[in-house]
Amino acid sequence: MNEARRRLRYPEIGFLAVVFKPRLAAQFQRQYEAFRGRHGFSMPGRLFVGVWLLFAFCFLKPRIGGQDSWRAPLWLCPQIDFSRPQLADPLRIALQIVFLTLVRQQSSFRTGRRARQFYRFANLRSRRFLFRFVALARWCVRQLQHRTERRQAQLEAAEDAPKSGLPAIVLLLLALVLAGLCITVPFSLEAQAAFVVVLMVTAMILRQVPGRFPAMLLMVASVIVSCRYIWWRTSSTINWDDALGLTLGLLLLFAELYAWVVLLLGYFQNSWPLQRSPVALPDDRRDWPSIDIMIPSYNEDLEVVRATVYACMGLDWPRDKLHIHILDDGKRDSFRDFAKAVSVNYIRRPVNNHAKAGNINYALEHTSAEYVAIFDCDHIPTRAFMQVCMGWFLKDPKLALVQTPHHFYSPDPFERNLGNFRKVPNEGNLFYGLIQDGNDLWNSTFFCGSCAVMRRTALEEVGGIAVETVTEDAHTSLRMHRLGYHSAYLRAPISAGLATETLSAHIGQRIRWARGMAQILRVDNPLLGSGLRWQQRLCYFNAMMHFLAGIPRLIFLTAPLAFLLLHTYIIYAPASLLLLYVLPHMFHASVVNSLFQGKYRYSFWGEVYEAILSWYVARPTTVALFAPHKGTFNVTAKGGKVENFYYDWVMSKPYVFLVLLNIAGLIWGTYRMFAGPTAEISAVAINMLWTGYNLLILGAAVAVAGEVKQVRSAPRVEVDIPMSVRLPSGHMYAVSMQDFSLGGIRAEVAHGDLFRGLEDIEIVLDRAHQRFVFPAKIVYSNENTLGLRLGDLSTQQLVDYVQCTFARADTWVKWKQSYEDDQPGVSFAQVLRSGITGLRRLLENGPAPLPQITRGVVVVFDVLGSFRPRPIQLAG
Amino acid sequence: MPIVYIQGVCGGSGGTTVAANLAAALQALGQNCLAFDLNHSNGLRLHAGLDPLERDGWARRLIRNENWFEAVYESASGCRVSPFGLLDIDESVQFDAQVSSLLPTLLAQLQQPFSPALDWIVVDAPAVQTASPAYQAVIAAFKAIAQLSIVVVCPEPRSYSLLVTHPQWASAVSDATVLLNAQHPERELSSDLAVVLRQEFQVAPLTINSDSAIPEAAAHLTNVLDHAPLSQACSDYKALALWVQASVRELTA
Repeated sequence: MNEARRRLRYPEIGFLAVVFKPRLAAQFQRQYEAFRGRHGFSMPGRLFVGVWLLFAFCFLKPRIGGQDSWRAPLWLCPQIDFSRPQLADPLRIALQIVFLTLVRQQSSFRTGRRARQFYRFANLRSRRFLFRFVALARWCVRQLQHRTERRQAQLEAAEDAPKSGLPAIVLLLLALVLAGLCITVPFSLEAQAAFVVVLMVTAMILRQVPGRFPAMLLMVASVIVSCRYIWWRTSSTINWDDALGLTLGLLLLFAELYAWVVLLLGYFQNSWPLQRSPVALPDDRRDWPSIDIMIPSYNEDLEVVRATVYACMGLDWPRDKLHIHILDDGKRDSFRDFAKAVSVNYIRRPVNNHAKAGNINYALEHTSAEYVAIFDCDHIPTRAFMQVCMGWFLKDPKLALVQTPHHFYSPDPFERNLGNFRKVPNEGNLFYGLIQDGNDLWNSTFFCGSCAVMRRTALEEVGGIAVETVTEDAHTSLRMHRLGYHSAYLRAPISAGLATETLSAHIGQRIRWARGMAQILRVDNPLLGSGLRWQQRLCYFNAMMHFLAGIPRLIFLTAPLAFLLLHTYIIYAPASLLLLYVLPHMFHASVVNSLFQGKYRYSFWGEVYEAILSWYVARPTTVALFAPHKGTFNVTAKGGKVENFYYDWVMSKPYVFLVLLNIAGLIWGTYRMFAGPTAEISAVAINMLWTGYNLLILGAAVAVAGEVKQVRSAPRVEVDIPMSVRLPSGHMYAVSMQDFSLGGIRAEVAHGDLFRGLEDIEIVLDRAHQRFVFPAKIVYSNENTLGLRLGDLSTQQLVDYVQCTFARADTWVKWKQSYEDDQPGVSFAQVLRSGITGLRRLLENGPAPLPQITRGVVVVFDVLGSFRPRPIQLAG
Repeated sequence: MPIVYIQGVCGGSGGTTVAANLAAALQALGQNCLAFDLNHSNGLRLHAGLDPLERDGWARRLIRNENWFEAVYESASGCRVSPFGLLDIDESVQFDAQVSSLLPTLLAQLQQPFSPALDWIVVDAPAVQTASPAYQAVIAAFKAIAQLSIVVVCPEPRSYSLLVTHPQWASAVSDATVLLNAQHPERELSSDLAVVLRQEFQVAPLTINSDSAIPEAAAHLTNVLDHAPLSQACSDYKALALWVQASVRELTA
């Protein structure tokens, strides 16, 4: 049948069947098909391909250079569509031939890996002459490490014996004095150059040595360099002569001081992630405590809540000790009926005050279990959630909170609009991957509103969830910490939820967090008040400082314009000296951050995320700092859909303005480059580079505003899980589940023809050796995909289905581990690409002449680019 | 040359089917395999494409004082099979009388190098309760030289009660791994019994699902890998072959 269809598709070579034997004719058809381009054959294409294949068949030997000779054109000129030859193709072929004859081709070339290969080349490890130094440094650091460890062991063994050597306080003082010298001694240009070069080379070598100890050394180097920079900036670069320059200069200095404080606090917070592991529960299940699961909801879809409720019903915990409550603030009867149908508790309160916090507090009064677990209505816990979390509560009676990460199975607007979902760690990854884990060391992990379990007594002691601020979660845990309770963070992705849908909703959520944190800073400042240890104060303080980043980021984004447009010196220093101070500061900070945060946030992306939010959080945080009780709570809507591609002009307006401003700066700078005084050229160049970088970051920020279409309201989760399909005939086929939702499944099949004409089938899913069968309908099938819609399932079946999909304990773990380590070069290329995409999108959606001009430029570039010779891969 | 010993818990459990398809799956991994039939019912050859009317087999050769390994046949996929042979009633009596004395030579010859060399021998043994006491000693001898022994069980009441209540099975299953065969995931009883069996016995981590392709393959005188390469059964058996390989390596290491 296949043969017949193929013959119909290419009637022009039907005559082959007459001339050649069937086997040869089939072979010609296969070859002919291989030449088919995306748009099918054109007349000259048919002619060319036909003549070539006959020629190759008659005159060439079957294989040349390890390749099929008939395939040669495809192989040698991959950029040309031979099924539709164009006028310029001879030129392209000529260029390609020249390229192939002159440039040696690699035998194992992988496209898309080029950036990585380049990066590897830049990596010190691959340069042989430095390798010995690295090995030596590694050996030295190891020796040092072993010696400290041995000494530590000795000290611990001889706890009571009189301590030899200098006491710790003297050592600390000595270190501080030395560090102070390093930071404050003024250097000449040459001395500073020598100093930073030595430190940078040391850093590059230390970076190669694995382990926490060298990482700490790197951190120390970075702290010294940054402090030195800030010292120099405050003491010798303020422009006291010019009022405008002084004002703007002080503003920039303020922003830099802010960034410096956040950097140091971040080092403190991230230096030693605790990486706590779960504690086993007692063997006797009768000793396991009772838990109230609260699922607060306000305006979310029932569809979204259903999956969560089914997942909670399937939690592996004694039935009689697990009480599920839907806390419906929307007062919807559909929710009440659903709760009744699946027999979980439904709580509706008479009032609506204090939003989510009030909702939970009301429910606390009407429930009584020892522990309270809170899940946002779209956060689906995996089956083992409670078993993983509860062990610590039984071990530590002062423990009040166990928080787990919020993992999102749908892309957030940043990821969706930049198209880097599951390629680049998202915004939250840094917080849940590293920061909370670092907080845990200092016993200052804070509550994040969902996916957490709390001890009821502790919660009641602080008066329930805090209602004074809009980030009730962090505030509640702050209060519990003040009472001396402990907290724990388990960095295991044992639940997953929906990310916010649209950019405006996402930004709205961040605004709420920022405002809430600023409110806490005013209402219940962690630096003041009783009960906290100084480490906890710093951790909480840093969390709040982080959200004040808006104004400083805006200052950084516009600072170079002060010189380019207003022609005032805001940093009063020679360009060369400035570079010698600022570059090492940035270099060391990014080396350390790349080392510590590498798996959770790639270099430069933090600045993009910050830039997007800066404008929006700048105002609410400032207002909240001065008037903490103004403003209302806004709920983040989830589970909606973006109908078509559209450009969020409202959201991106401030960034468009900033982009225009920066472009003006660039133009004016170029003019000054040629027309201005020669003494200023280096300053202009530095400021233009800075502006260019800002433009890139802004471009990436603007790219996010172009919303990409999302069709399904229940987002599908992409996976690769084996499953089986059972036909009514009793045949069973192993297929691979590609994505799932509460309504259906898409599966990859080896041979779609098997399912032709079938409608009702059964799917077999597997969870921990148990098999579950669900009825399903085939909605569509083609050669290698099968679209399935689930049939009518009973409640128990739905619980089982959620257990086999969303709540599989391993679903999210693999995903988390799939991110590679950060490579700053690659990461910069990604940001660069996003930035250019963003600026292009901006132009394409701009007013009248811009889109046409952009399209024209793009076409010209595409055409010119099509002449570029392409590298090919040699066989074997 | 490891020996895998496969025994159904009762007639119809699918011991022969598992043995034949496991042999084919091991062969598909590029390892030369001999499937050896210990069943009087002589069913193993049906999966290897042998003529159903062919009466030849090692038992028949043995009682005629012929070389038993003349009766080794090769299937289309390269897997070799040694059928039991079809015996009439006289031959049966004769076989029962002689088998104990011939057993040592048989076992010694079986473990000698074959040409072309063998990587695996898969032995298909009858259920303990169906064999005569004399023959039970024979199959026990085969089990003793096997590196891995597998009891094929359908998760259904009859099999379960045999395993739990039959005195001979109590010892037979203690040093073997249970393989769940022909599981019907859509039947609650089947799923529940699978859970119970997993709890009470040492059960292999994979199951063979019930799939119409398996009897169809037998009807075509072939194995399921050749007959229905896209089926669930095919991937189940491929997985089984990998598991057998890994566990034998672990046991012998």
